[in-house]
Amino acid sequence: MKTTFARELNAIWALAGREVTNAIKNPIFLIFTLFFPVIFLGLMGGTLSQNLGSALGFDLMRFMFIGMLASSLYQGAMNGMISLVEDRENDFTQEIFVSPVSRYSIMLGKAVGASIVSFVGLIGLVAMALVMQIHMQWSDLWNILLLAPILSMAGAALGTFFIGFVQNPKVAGIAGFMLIFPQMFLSGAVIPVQNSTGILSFFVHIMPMTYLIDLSRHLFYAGDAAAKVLIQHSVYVDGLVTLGFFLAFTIIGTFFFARSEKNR
Amino acid sequence: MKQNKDDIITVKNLVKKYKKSDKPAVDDISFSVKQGEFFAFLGPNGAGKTTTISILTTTLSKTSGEVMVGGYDLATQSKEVRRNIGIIFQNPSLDLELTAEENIRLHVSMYGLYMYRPLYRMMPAEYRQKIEQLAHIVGLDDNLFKKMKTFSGGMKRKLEIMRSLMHEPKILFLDEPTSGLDPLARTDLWKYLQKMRRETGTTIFLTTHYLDEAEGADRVCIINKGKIVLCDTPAQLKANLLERTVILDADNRVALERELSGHTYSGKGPFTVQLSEPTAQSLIQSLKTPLSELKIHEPSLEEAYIDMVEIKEDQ
Repeated sequence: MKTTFARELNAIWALAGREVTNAIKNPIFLIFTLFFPVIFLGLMGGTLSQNLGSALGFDLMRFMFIGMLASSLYQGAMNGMISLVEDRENDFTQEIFVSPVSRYSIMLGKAVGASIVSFVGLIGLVAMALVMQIHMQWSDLWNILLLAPILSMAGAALGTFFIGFVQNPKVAGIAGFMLIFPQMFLSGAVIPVQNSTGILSFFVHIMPMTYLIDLSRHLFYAGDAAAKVLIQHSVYVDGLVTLGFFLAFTIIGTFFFARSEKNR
Repeated sequence: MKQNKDDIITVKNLVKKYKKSDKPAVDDISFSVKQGEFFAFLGPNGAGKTTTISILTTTLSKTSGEVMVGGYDLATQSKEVRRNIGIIFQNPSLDLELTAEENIRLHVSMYGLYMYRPLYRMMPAEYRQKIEQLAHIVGLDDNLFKKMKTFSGGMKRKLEIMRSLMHEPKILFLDEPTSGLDPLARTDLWKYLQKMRRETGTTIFLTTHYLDEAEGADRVCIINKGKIVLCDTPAQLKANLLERTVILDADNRVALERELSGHTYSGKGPFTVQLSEPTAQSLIQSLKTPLSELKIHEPSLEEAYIDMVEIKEDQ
């Protein structure tokens, strides 16, 4: 390959390919990824909708579908990135980090791969939406395609930041769960949070996923009366905060993870 | 730092001190390796071998010192250094979920040798030819498309060597490459490595616990407690550290001892006689007493090494 740019791009592509190959070869992972949103949307969403839905004044199932869609991509990519800790434990990162490729390309390759793999969850989610007859429009498909790269890259960035500081696989497993679970409830993915006050309001505002969920709702609820009730910030605020988190997480995480590799 | 044109690795005053340690793991060492040389780096556990090799291969940062590898400065041109070296780590660094071929495909793509394609059949013919040729040499032809999980320790090592040679490195670093392998796999691997070295002229930098593996090296450096103790050819190391001896015995030990009076010897029978000449011929010719035992003892590198480490431990 002639140019450095082409070499870096090829390495990103190859690392992403490895992630996808590994996912395809792991049926348990695929089944879990497919069925997790199904269980969440089908059981939790169904129960909430039947018991509380009529009192809310908006379509709870559509609200949850959008939230689940965003959080499943975000989580999937984050978890994929965290699997680098496992690679480190198996000494595979030595092979990756000794190659003549930029550390940022390595992390980006892993992030792109994790993002592509996280799309698997979407299949289950859309299938469940069809089964449960959740209100969907053709434009939603376009919205999903438009949002998917942003959501998954943002999730991968959080994963990068996380592994910059946590390299123990056991700790990573528990701490990763602790990182995503509060976000599920405090970001407005499955439960509306715009009326939160006090400490909960503070947490809502510092969660990176809050702004991504809000950004997603801007697209899905464009022109819908429910937008006024369900959207918290302007699209610019959501976009800028998301970009800020992405850059900060990627740069800091990559720096500290690469440093930990050199100081094993 | 300027590098001698014959040298491919130059290390000057290298120091590595780990954060939680009082003493440096590598303490102000300097040495060089010539192009095409088979260089062995020996030392007991915790001597600083792996720390040194990790610094030379850019996987570990140094505390101070200057290092040039393949004509590139490690501090400022680490990417160029990585492009010119191949590494076999102490622990296999393979993705066990992938097949052997997929591991290699990832490697060649990371090194920018070929454009990555998601399937083997989509890869260029040149790649497919090269991989099949190398797999045949290392005897992995039938296992290229099998998952790494089915591979034995020896097969994994062979695959790693095969992988590291795909980008035709100038220097191949081997960090205890045969640890955990059975004797047959070890011999097999070394046959292949020597063949590869003859054919490609690749410089080999080896760290090992098996001293017999270093016997074939052009030069050996012994490191102990972070310091380089000796650097020489295996023959010279043995000559400097140990004496060649002849073990003699006879039914008439009194007569034999009388005849040995002009030589330096030890024991009351059998007698261990130090050899001052290149061969034992003149010593044997000078003896009239019928011998019941005659053994010429050529010291091994292992004995020289143990002797040296013991001397240093006593100091």
